[in-house]
Amino acid sequence: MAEPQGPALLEVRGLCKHYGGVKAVDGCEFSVLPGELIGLIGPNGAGKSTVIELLSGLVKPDAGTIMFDGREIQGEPPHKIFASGLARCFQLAREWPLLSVLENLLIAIPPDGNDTIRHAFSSPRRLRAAEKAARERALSVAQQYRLYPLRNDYAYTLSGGQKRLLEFARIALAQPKLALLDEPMAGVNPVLQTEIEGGIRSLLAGGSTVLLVEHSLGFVESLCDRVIVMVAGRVAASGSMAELRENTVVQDAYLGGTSVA
Amino acid sequence: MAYFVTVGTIGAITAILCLGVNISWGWVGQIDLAYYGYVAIGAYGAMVLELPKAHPTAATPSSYVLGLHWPFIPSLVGATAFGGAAALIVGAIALRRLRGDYIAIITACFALMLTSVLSQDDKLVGGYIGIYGLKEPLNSVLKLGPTGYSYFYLGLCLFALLLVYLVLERIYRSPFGRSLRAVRENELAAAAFGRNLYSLRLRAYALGGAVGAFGGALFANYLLAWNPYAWSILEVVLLIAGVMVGGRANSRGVIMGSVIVLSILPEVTRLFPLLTSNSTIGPSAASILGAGSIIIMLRFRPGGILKERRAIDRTEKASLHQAPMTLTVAESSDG
Amino acid sequence: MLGIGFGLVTAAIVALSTVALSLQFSVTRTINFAHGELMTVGAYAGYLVAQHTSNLVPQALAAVAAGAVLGWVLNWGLLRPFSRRGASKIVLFVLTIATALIVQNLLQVGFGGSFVDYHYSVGLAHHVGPFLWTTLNIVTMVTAAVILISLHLMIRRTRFGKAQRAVADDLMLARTTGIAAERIISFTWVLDGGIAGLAGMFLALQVGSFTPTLGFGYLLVIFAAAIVGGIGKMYGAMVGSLIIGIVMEVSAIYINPSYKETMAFLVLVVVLLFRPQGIVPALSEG
Repeated sequence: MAEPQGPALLEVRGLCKHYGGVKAVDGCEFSVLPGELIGLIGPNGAGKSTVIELLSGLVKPDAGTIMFDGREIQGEPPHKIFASGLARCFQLAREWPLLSVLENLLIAIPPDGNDTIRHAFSSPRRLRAAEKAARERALSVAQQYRLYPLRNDYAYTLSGGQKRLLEFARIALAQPKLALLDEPMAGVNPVLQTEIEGGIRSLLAGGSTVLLVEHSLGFVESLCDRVIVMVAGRVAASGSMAELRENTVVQDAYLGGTSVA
Repeated sequence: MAYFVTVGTIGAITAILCLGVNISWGWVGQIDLAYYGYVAIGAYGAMVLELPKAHPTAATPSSYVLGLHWPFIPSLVGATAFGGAAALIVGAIALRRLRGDYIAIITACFALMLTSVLSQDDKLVGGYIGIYGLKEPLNSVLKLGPTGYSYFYLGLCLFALLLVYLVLERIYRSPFGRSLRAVRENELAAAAFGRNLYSLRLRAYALGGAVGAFGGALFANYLLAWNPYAWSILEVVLLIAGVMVGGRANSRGVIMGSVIVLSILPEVTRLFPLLTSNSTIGPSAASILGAGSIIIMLRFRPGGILKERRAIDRTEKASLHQAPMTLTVAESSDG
Repeated sequence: MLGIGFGLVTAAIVALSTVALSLQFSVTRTINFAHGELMTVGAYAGYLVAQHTSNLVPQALAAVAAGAVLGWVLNWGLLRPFSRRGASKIVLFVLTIATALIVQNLLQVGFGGSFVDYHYSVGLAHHVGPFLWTTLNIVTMVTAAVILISLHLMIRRTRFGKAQRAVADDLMLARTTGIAAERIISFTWVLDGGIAGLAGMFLALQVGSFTPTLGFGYLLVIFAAAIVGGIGKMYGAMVGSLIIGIVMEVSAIYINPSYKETMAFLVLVVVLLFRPQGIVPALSEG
């Protein structure tokens, strides 16, 4: 189990979240290095999704610290966390149904104080240039994800696969320091899977760090250099997939499918 | 003809009020029962700014604050600002982590407290008596006769409606409006993509209050008087009905709905007493049909007659820089 | 002391109505803005019967029946069809607001907008401890107490109460475990309407004359009591009513009678602002 060296981009210490008597996340600790593509796996109910909710600020942790980019972000509202460079995609696509596809993409670009009533009228040149640049970027990403012809459609009219692409395109437009991807491959056909895989690689190429939560081991193995295994709300092991296959705890909890949790 | 001028003037003002309600219900998706409070603040605000200092006599017993004797246009602006400021204060309290239906309850509380204070405290804006005695705005310059002036004021209100329409359309299409609609469509996703829900909602709420106050100020300048019993908080439902019938979040639809529900319907039901022996049935029938139209619209056409329009992008593909079609190439262009 | 005495009577009426609202909310999770109209139709039903007999019992029965029918119709005819089609909470809420306006105006068409007089003939005052109460006051409070105790027994002791609590806790689970959820919800609305109708009648008798906005005028006081007590919690609703009732009557004496509702709203706003942890957990569940 090789702990990574150097300053981490994300460092989670003693993270806890209990729902009633259920310890969804119970003393979870791990760190993510800048530029890596790291997998987070674990059996159902291990607390992976809750970790994503906690990291993105949609759920407040009961205890623990989340160091992101040199700053403690636990307990901060989601919009602040996003502004500091941490974006997530949702397991079930959450598009804005009555907005056009293009508008959906434009929302994903950080507004940088551009979305005020005042700027609807007296838009200084800088802001107008920013809006124009945002449109162009959104259109080119739309092209990349085959959404360009659909850019003027209401988002609710998209098919399931197209919504998934939209979800991914939004993350790409946000250009986060750290992208949290919550099971992007779940229920997706093989063609789309290749496309999303390419999307993940282009996120990395663009300088983002990626935390990939996955249920399917195949993808994690083919994509990730390092994998964290969560069992019953904590990290049971981490390392390369090859190392983890040797790990008996992981074998019992996950690969073997017996009930350690 | 005078009849149509009256209906038209009140119709234009009501359409402005509906456009204000459309901000909270159409853009943000919440019910603001304090809305008529802001209308009243605008009405009183305009009057106390326009009127000279109060000198209560037996003939005009009402007494009120300020009395700055400002001209019409600055008073209109001032009244609008009062409404926006009041909405900012109420919103700052009501919009804090409350569920939609609780926002409605809290705003209803504020509206009732406001009515109670405005009607009890006779030094503030004349208490139960209200304020009256406003002079026809701008007529000291125009010197028009009653008919001529009524046409002028109709034109003024239609112009004001156009102005409000253009301003709100512009805001609706701006990044601010886009963010608001994202909050309405899915607030968790909007928050996850960096939108500050509280701040966005609060700003929209204040904008709604300002529009309401602007409409109220125009109304007071038309009636030349105002008292606290001009409205009940439930009447906001009829404005919401206008929004729902015409088209939620579609400004043109909202104006159309306002005309249908709040101008045509009351005028038609005004004829009801001729058909029955009940002489007071008119306004009640208008309210019943207006509120009933909410139920019917929600059941059969929730978006309204004119659906919300999405922004259409007309960029031609060719005008884009040659975007790569395959993702392997995309990597290199992104890097 | 006089203030507290009146406060107890008001509290008894508010408590009846609030407990009905809270019970309905805990089971259906819909905020009913037409709750005041359940009370108003009860008041008018009592008033109509009073034109024929001065006996309070048939008047009360009519009030209960009128409220119950409106409660049932509101659920069966309006809210259930919409919630079956997946309407959101805010849409259901808007529907109840529209209903409030419709019922008020129907009553206005039927009875006119002016005040109707409604009295109970026995007006003797009794000294009870430090308090001074009329016979009507005492009847009101005893009835309220009996109903509240019966509700308590029904919810705690009967199978129906258990089923109701199960639906309140988890509608989906209750459905899958074979509890006839729709019937429970339907009956809850009937119960809510009946109790609210009775409360409306007592309220009308207490104030002596009323208009179609009687119940609506008290709606936010009732919401205040329910939310102060923690909405959806029956016992909290009782405590909340007591607090609100006493606050209103005491402030009527020491501040200004016309500000007594304002004081109730102020309490509500302050509670929502400064004790959100006591109230918000119940709010955010829905």
